[in-house]
This record gives sequence, C-alpha cells and structure tokens, in this order.
Amino acid sequence: MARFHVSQDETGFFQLTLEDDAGGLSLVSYQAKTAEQLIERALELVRSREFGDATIVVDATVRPPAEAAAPIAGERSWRPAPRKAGA
Amino acid sequence: MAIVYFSADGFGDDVNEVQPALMRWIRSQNNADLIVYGGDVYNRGTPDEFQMMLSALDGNVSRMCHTPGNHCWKTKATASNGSKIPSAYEAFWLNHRPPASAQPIDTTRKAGGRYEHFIDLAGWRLIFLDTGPCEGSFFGGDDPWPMNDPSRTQFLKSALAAPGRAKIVFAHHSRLSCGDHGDIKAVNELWQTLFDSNGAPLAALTLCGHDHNVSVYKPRKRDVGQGPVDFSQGIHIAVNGAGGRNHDNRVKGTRPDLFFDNGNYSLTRITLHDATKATVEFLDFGPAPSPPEAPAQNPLFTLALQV
Repeated sequence: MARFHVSQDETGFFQLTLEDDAGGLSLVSYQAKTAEQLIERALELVRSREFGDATIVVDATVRPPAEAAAPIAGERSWRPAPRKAGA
Repeated sequence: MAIVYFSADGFGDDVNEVQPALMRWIRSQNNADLIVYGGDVYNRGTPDEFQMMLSALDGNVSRMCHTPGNHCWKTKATASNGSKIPSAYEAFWLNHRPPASAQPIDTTRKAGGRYEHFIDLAGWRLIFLDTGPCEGSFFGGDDPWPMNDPSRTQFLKSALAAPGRAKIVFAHHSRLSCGDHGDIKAVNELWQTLFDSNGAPLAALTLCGHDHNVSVYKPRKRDVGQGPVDFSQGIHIAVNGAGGRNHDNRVKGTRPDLFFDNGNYSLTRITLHDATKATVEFLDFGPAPSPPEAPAQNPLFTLALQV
C-alpha cells in the first residue's frame, strides 16, 4: 500500500514523499514552509484514487525553523533526499 | 512591440520570498506593458491574504490582471445575481478597477465570467479565463469550465473570432500538466473551443499555473491524446507555476516533451515583437526560497512563436 509522507527535511523546509508498494521513495514536493499545505496536497492525491488505498503519514516534529534553512551542498543544491515521516 | 510578464502560485500566506523579488525586478525593468498573475493567493484567498499580496507588490497593481486560481475561490459566496463568486478576489479587484489595474470586473455577468476578458497588444490578442473552481468537490467548487454557463463559451469563441492565430490564452488550470495535479480534464471544453469546427487551431499558446514547476509541451490538436503535432495543426501548452510556494516533481500528468524544470523558481517574459512573432522566455530565478534580485543571464527555456 502506498504512503504519502509529510515531514521536515534537512533543508529546514517540509517535503512530501511517496512511498510505493515496494518501499521505494519518490520526492513529490519540497521547500514548503508549512506541513499543512502538503497535507492538503496529500489528501487530494489520496482522494484521486490514482494511488490505490494510499495513506498519509505526518511527522509533526518541528526542527530548526525554515528561516534558518540553507542549501544542502552549494548554492544551487536545495533538493532534499526523499524521506519517510519519522525517519 | 510589447512586453508581458506572467507569474503564478506565489502570493499570500505560507509562501516563500519569491514573488516580491520577481515583482520588484519586473518594475525595475520599466518595460512591462502587462503583468499577468496566473492565480492562487494562499491559503484560502482571504482579504488578509490579498493584503499580503498587495504588500508584496509594494502597493502597485498598475498594468496587472489576475486569472483566479482554485485557492482564490475558497472564499466562495453568493453574488447579488445569485451566482457564486470568490468574494475576496472580487472585492480586491473591484477596489483596484482599471485604470488602477488591468483587471476588469463585469458585475452584470455570472460567476467567473465576471473576470474573463481580453487585451489586444502589439497585434496579439491575450485572453484571460477563470478556471478557478473547475475541479469540483476536491476544492469545494462547482463544475468543469464553463461551469454550466454557455455565455462563457460564447465569449471565448467571440474572442477567438478575430483573424489569425496571434492569440495567447491565460488561465490557472492547464489541459496538460505535470506535477502533483497533472492533466486537467475539467478544462477540456475550454481546450476544444480553441479549435474551429474543422479542428484548425485558433490560438498559438495556452499559459497556466497550478503545478509548481515549468512544463512546456509541443503543439497538441483538439484531441490532446493524439500526441505532439506540427504547429500548423496544434497549440503549444506551457505551465509556469514556479512562482514561490514550493517545487513540485512529477507524480501525475503528461510528461513535457519540450522542457521540464522542477528545481528553480521562474518568471515568464513574453515579447510580442509584431503580429506574427513572439518569444516566450522562462526566466531563471534559481532554486532558493529567497531568490536573487535578478534572473540568471540565460533563461531556463525559450519558446519562439511564429504565426
């Protein structure tokens, strides 16, 4: 069963990641200031039924705020690795 | 010659610091004949969020129009003629009617038809449509465009009736798109109206937002499922929703066959050279949530239109 994960990542922003049936992770959206906007997106994706009986997992843990975020490695590298909520 | 800028999906609350930078750079160029905001004032298009938009614009909405997005429609209310309207959107633009802006509100019409209009510039016709509530119950909206209002289809047909194909259609939702929204079937009637009864294209390009990336497609026929065709038979489709809320990768929708970028913020600059030629540039404001004051020297992508 697919899962959509919402969590704060290494850039300090929130991301939405899709975990497929085999456990593979795909980054869906990133650099969001709040988890709420991605939860809304995840709900729309689940309701579309295009991902079977997908569920949503949210990690509400707040780490350093987005304002303190920085590129991962160099000015043009802001793309985080996909991650599971709670990982 | 005329210069038109297009941006979408970046004003309001819970957004990054991108739109203010884009808009200040546009104003610093002193060359904008028109600035098109392609919709979505986050999160719910409330009056407070429209005030945030006004602040991000340094209070200047001159030569600006705004095709509503789904988030702009979350303040849905009933107008005096019984039709549904996005109340904060309408109140804001009523308060900044032309000549203060380029966004008319025709209160004699129903629902989103009140905001649909066209502007003729440098031999081109620019047509602006409201697709905001088209996706139905997911967004608490109504029906696919034209929302059971035949007068809106008639308006579009009359706008397209001018001779030639030097026409660009602007809306929030794109028939083809790639991201976490994907292709929008709810604007299929709009798309099909862009072709005559023989299937000949009446416009050159549609430019929309909604998915937060840059996607550019080769021309498509009235039946978009037939795949890319020569420009003589089809209309280009472009999406630039990379206006500041976040970056969207592809999970749904048709994969773009000309260009795709999901890592940078971007502003579209359209140069209307004359009645036969236009250049559409997707300017590169980089990947950071606080973008540079000016775009990179080279655009992410350039689309040449010759009609």
